[in-house]
This record gives sequence, structure tokens and C-alpha cells, in this order.
Amino acid sequence: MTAPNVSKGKKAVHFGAGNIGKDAEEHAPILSPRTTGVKTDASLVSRTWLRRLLPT
Amino acid sequence: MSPGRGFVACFLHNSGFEVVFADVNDAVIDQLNAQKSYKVIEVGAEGTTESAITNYRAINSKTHEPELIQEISTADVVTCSVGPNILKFIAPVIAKGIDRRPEELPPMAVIACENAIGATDTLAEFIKGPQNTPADRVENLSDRARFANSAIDRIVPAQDPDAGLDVKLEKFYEWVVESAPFKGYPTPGIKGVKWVEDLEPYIERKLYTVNTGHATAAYHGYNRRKSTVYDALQDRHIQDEVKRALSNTANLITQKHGIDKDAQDAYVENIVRRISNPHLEDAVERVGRAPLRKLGRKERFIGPAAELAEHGKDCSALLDAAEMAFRFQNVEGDDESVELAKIMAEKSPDDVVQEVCGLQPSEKLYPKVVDIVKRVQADSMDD
Repeated sequence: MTAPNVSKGKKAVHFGAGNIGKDAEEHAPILSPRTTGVKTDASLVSRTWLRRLLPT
Repeated sequence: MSPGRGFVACFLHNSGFEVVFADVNDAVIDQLNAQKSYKVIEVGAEGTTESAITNYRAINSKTHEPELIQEISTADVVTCSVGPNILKFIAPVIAKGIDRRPEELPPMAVIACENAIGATDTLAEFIKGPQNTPADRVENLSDRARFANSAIDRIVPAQDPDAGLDVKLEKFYEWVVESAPFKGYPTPGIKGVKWVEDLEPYIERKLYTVNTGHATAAYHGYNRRKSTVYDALQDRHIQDEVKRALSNTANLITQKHGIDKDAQDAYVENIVRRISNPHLEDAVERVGRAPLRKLGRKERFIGPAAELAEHGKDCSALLDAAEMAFRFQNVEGDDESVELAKIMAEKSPDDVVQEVCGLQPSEKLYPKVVDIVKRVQADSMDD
């Protein structure tokens, strides 16, 4: 067994140097292909409840 | 994205620590060992700043476990940002490192930096398990390691594909760590960490402000066909909904935890600015995913709304946001939204509220949420 690598200064070991997957969803946005602004699914606007929501 | 390289390791480096990365990803380990420095780029409305991270090494925890155990045994601090589900896999090697700690060294600090409440406690339980640490060594484990829970808050946006090791993230950060576990010893000298006796107010404030605000924007944005949270917040109506929701939760947070109203107002203003950051380009479908979990009893909408309702306080904006979450159904790539649609189609409003939200008929919020479910179910039949 080799001797422990005792650093001259302070030393930290950190687990996780790459991506951490979907558990980190709140911290790390994973983007779907971006389409700017409002989507153009006009059929949605026909929905009763959405019409109620939209400003008149 | 890498909160490890971009956030935690950056703080450790800036505090004078040599950082030894441990990971199972060969490519990242090889790159870290081949490259003597990488950049951390902070982006925000006020501009961009860059800093260089140096003085690090990297070890593959899958192929070089003995070397990693040696490093852990003499470390001052052990941190992780691997995801809550991975803690059980890193516990054995940390346990071995702790067990071999030379007696003359003070206890190392173990801090899990995960997006989960009590993540360090979870890691500690795995470490103390009989398969990882013999019972007779658990008794005096605190002589070799101290375990402190933490809350971290920093948005790391999608990285450029050719960024290499460099990490881009927002300027804002909050890293709060329990101080009580270090009783008798100085807290680790990590610059930027806020050490607190009681972590709960910070965790709740973050969940009921950052996560409530983010999800409110996403669910309203999804239902109004916006692409990203940024796009949603350009809509005055949605912006007002977010401000109303955060006003609801601010009322609870300031009274429950004795947080100063002006301080909370400033915090809210900062959060709205953060989630409005155009650099983040965060899709509403991503932020809104897992609606079943987010509509849960202890989560961002129902949690604060239930407490507010019990005290006769306004929670209307939280309920409006919850309604939008109930309408987040059959979203591509999100299994929970499909499950939600099935539940909404098959169950009675009372069953939905009890099973999804965990509310009981005796609670004041209960009938209000039942009404929401009835409305959403009726609207689904219209379509």
C-alpha cells in the first residue's frame, strides 16, 4: 500500500465532475430545441378553459 | 452541466483547497488530468466574468478505488454532487476512507451538495450501514468525520457542446451549511458558505420561492404555449401570477421563520430576476416535468397553500398555479404527466386530491383543491 497523498495545504475530495443527470433538474436546465416565443398550436386556443384564461 | 466543477469545486479552489475530483466518467477524468486549468464563466444581466480553476487532480472511482480511499483518508473536506440516487454508490468508498483516517487528524467534513432535503444525513446512513462500517467503528465515527446537511441554490444552464471542461453558470449563488455538527472544531474554511444553526428556514425559503416561482412560470407558460420560462415571464399576465404566488409564500415565510419582510422582498425580487435570465433558455416542459411530485403535500404549491389556508391567509395564486399544474398532462417525455392524465380521467376529485396532493378532508385547503380538480376534469371533457 502506498502512503496517503497528504497535501501540503488543505485538500478536498469532490464526487461528481461531470453531468449529474435528471436528479439535478432544479439546478441544471436541460433544454429542448428552442423555438422562440409563443408556440403556434392554434387548436389549443379553441379550448374553453384557455379562452377563459386569455386576456380579453 | 456540472455543479461539481462549476460551483462546489470553484468555491473550494477559491478557499485554497486542492480539489481531488472523483467520478466514473473516464473522459472527464482524463480531461481533468490532462488540462491544468478550466474556466468558470458567470453570466448575468450585469455582464460576464471568468475565473480560472487550478490546483486539482482527478481519480476514476471505478478503476482506482485504493488511490481514492487514500485521498479521502487525509482530506479535510469531502463533498459530492452526484444526484440523490447515487449516494448509496459512493458511500462504500467514503466509508473506507473515513475508516482509515489517521488518528492525529481532526474529523473531516462531509457535505452532500444535492438537490434534496437532508442529503448528507442520507449519505451518512449509508456510510454507517453494517455493510460499509463495522458496528464497533460506528460508535466513534464522529472522531473521524462530521456530517453536515446543506442547501445549494445556483442555476447552471445548458453548456455549449464545445465548452470542454469550462462551465457557464449564473452569478447568483447560495450555499448554506449546518454548523452544529462541527461543535468543538472550527467549521471548514470554505469562502462563500453561510453557516447556520438551523437549515430548515433556508431550505423552505428556497423551495417556496425559487421552486414555487420557477414552476408557476413554467405551468402558466406551458398552458399559454410559451417555449421557455424566459418567454413566459415576458408575458405581463404570467409575470403577475408569479409575483402573486411569491407574495403568498412570502407571507408564510416571513411569519413562520421570522425572516425580515424587506429581506424576503429583496430575495423574491432577485429570484424573479434570476428565473427571467435570458441566458438560461429553460424550456417550460423541463421545469414543469414531474407534476405528480410537484403537486405533493410537502411541495411548492400545496405545502405553503395548506399552511396559509389553515391560518385563513390568501393562497389564491398558489392554487391558480396548482390548477395549471393539473393541466400539465400528456407532455412528451414526461411520464408523470401521462400518469396524471390517467388519474384525472379515472378517479373522483376527492380521490385525486387525497392521492396526488396528500390532503385530508379535514384540512381547510381540501375543498378548494377539490373544486380545481372538478374544473380541470370538466374542461377535459369539453375538449
